[in-house]
Amino acid sequence: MRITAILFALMLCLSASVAHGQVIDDSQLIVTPYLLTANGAEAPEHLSGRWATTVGKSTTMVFSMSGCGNFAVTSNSQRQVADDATYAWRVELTPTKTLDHVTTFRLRWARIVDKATRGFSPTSEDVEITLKPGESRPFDSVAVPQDGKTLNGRPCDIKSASLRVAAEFSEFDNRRIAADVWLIEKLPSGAETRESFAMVGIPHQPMSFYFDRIGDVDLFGHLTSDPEQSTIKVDVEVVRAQVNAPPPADTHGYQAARWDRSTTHLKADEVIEIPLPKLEERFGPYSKRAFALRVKVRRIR
Amino acid sequence: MSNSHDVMSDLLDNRPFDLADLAAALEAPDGRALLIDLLALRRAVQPTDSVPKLSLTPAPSRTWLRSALVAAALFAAVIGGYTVGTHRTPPVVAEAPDATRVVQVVSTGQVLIDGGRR
Repeated sequence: MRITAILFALMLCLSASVAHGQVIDDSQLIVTPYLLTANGAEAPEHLSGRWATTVGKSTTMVFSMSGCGNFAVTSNSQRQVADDATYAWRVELTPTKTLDHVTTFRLRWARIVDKATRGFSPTSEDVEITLKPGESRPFDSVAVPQDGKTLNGRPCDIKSASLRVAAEFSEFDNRRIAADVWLIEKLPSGAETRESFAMVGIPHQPMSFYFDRIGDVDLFGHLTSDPEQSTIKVDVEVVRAQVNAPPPADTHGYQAARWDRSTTHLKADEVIEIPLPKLEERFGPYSKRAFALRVKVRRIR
Repeated sequence: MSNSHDVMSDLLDNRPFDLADLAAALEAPDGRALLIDLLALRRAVQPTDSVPKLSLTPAPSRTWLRSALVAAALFAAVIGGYTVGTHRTPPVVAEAPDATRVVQVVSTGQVLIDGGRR
C-alpha cells in the first residue's frame, strides 16, 4: 500500500513536470526567405512559416524555391516539395526552453532538393539557438539561377536567396489592450493642465501617442504592453523633440530630441504617474516647465 | 340687477369690485346668465388691435446686403473650422484621474539631429 502511494505521488510529480513543459509564450519563431536583388538590397518574401514556442513540440515545414526566387511553404502534415522546385528545405524546430520571451530551440534543417547545385555548404545543420524577440539567424543561402523567370514573366534580377529564423511577437493577436495617457503640466500655482490621448492595441506591439506642440517642443512616444498573470507589464518611451526654426527645406525632423523610458507592472485600474525630468537650457523656456505623464492600462479582450 | 351688472363689468374691466357683491350676484340664476351674456358680448366686440397691420408700402429691400452678410458668415465659419481642424490634433482635454503610484524614468538619452540648426 505504501509503495502504491509513493508510485502515485511520483506519477503526479511526473505529470506536473510534463505539464510544466507545455509552457506557452507570446513570442513566435518565424522562418522567412530573403531575396538579394541585383541592386544590392535584401528584402523578405511575403511568405513565412511560424512556430509556436511550445516547449517540447517539434514541427516540420518544407520550403520550396522555383524560378526566380518564387517561394512556397507547406505545413507539417503535407511536407510536400513543389514539382518545379530548384531548391527545397526541410526545417524542423523544437523549442526546449522559454523564459521571459527568450526561447531556446533546436533547429534541424536540410536542403533536400538542389537541382542547381549552386548552394553553399553545409547542406544541413542540427544546432541549438537562443533568440529573443527582434533577433534572427540566417541558416542557408543559395544562388538563384538567372535563367529563371519572375511570376510576371520578367527577366530574373534576383542574385541569391536565403532562409532566416527569427523570434518575434505575433502581429496577429486577438487580445486587445486599451491605454489612456494624460500629459500633465504642473504649474507653479499648484494647478494642473491636462491633455489626454486614448489608444487601443495588441500586446507587445507599440501604441503611439502624440500631444499638441508646446512652444517649439513636440511630445510623443509609445507604450508597449505585456499581459502577465495578474498585472500588465508596461514600457513607456517619451520623446521631447525641438522643432527647427525656421523650418529647413531638407527635413521634416527636429534639431534635437530627448527620450526617457520607464517600465512598471500595472494592476487593474491602477494609474501611474511618470514625472518627466526637466530639459536642458537649449530647449529654451520649455526647460523651466514641469511635466508628467499619467498612464492607465487595461485589457479589454 | 343694476348692481349685478356693475360688479360684473368691474370684474371684466379689471376694475376694483367687492367680492361679496360678486358672490351675491352669482347666487341668482339671472346673475349667472348675465355674466355669460357679458362674456359673449365682450368676445363679440373684442378689438382687433392686437393683430398686426399689413404694411401696404413695404420697406426698401436690402436682400442683397443680407445675402452677402450670410455668405460672409458661412465662409468665415467654414474657413475658421477648417483652420482649427488642421491645427488641432485628436488629443482632447479630459479629466485625469489621480495617480495611485509614481514611477520614475529608468533610462534616458539625447539625440542631436544634423548638428542642430540654431
